[in-house]
Amino acid sequence: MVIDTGSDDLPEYCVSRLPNDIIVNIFSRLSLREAARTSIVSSRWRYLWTFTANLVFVAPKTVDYGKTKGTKNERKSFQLISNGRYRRRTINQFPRLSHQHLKVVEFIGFVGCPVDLELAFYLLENATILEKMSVNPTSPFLIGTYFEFYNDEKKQTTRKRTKQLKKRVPQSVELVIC
Amino acid sequence: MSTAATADASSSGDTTEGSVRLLTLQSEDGEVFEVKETIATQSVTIKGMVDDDCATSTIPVCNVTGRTLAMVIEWWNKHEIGAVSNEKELKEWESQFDTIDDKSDRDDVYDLLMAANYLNIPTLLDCCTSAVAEAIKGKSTDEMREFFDIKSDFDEKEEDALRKENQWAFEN
Repeated sequence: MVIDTGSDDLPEYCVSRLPNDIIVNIFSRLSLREAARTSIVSSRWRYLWTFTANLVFVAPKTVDYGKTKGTKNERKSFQLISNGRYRRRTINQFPRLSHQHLKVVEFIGFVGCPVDLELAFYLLENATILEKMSVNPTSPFLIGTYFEFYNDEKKQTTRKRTKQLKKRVPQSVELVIC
Repeated sequence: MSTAATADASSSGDTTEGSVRLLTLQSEDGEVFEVKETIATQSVTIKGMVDDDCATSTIPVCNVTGRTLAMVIEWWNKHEIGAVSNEKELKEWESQFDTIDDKSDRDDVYDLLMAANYLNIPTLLDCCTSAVAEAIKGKSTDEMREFFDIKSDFDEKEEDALRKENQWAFEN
């Protein structure tokens, strides 16, 4: 018999009967930050969040680069790049790690500027079992509004730029341009 | 059984209205349900059995109680093509799975998750996992433990060390 036993007798009974893949499925629907917070709930959950197969990058307006040793100026130029207005970049040091569980990447607000391409190339290179990368030029702030499907010149340039990506995508990865 | 058993005009005895075949499902605690084949094949597991011609006698659905199986069948009925004409109506009906503040509701959702996993019903699995995810969004670690009824097996030192390991996740 399974249910109606009064969960008080078995404190970890409820959720712990779910197999890991269901829990990972649930975590995949959270933001990466929230998923990572589950690591301290209990020892069983410690590494489960690292198995999530989805990672959604939404570029924030400003990027907090506090952990690098860059000067104030460098930080500022990084912020400008992420606003998509400048092409210059000064920070070129992020750790190279291999991502062994990442399968799907969705890039929202992909402008095609060097910093975007670099992140895409980085993932193509380091996510060893990547199956699908989708690129969406719509700004995250417009999603869900009338302008979401507005096809302006900017988007068309983005599409042209993403062709550069196509050349570097290995056969095992499906590239979708929205 | 004959090779025509999977076709709609099945030769087996248990046919009814418009020769839609009925499948017999038996829950773990022995409850028996008769379900139209067209509905039950929303489960990838059952569809596989039907395609392989293995669904001719009672199908045991282990690990799923009668109570849960009844809920699953209700889900199938609502999601049968043409059963609910209006997408909005379906969404409204589905929204009952979204409120899982209550312990008993949560238990139901866990039961449904187990069943959806075993029977491989993608729509139901999606709905229940996102309901749980929505419920824990924005919760602190302690709130999450309370929500899931989990007792921490870390001592304070270990917890602090783990917090430091993924410090970026705990900063706002």
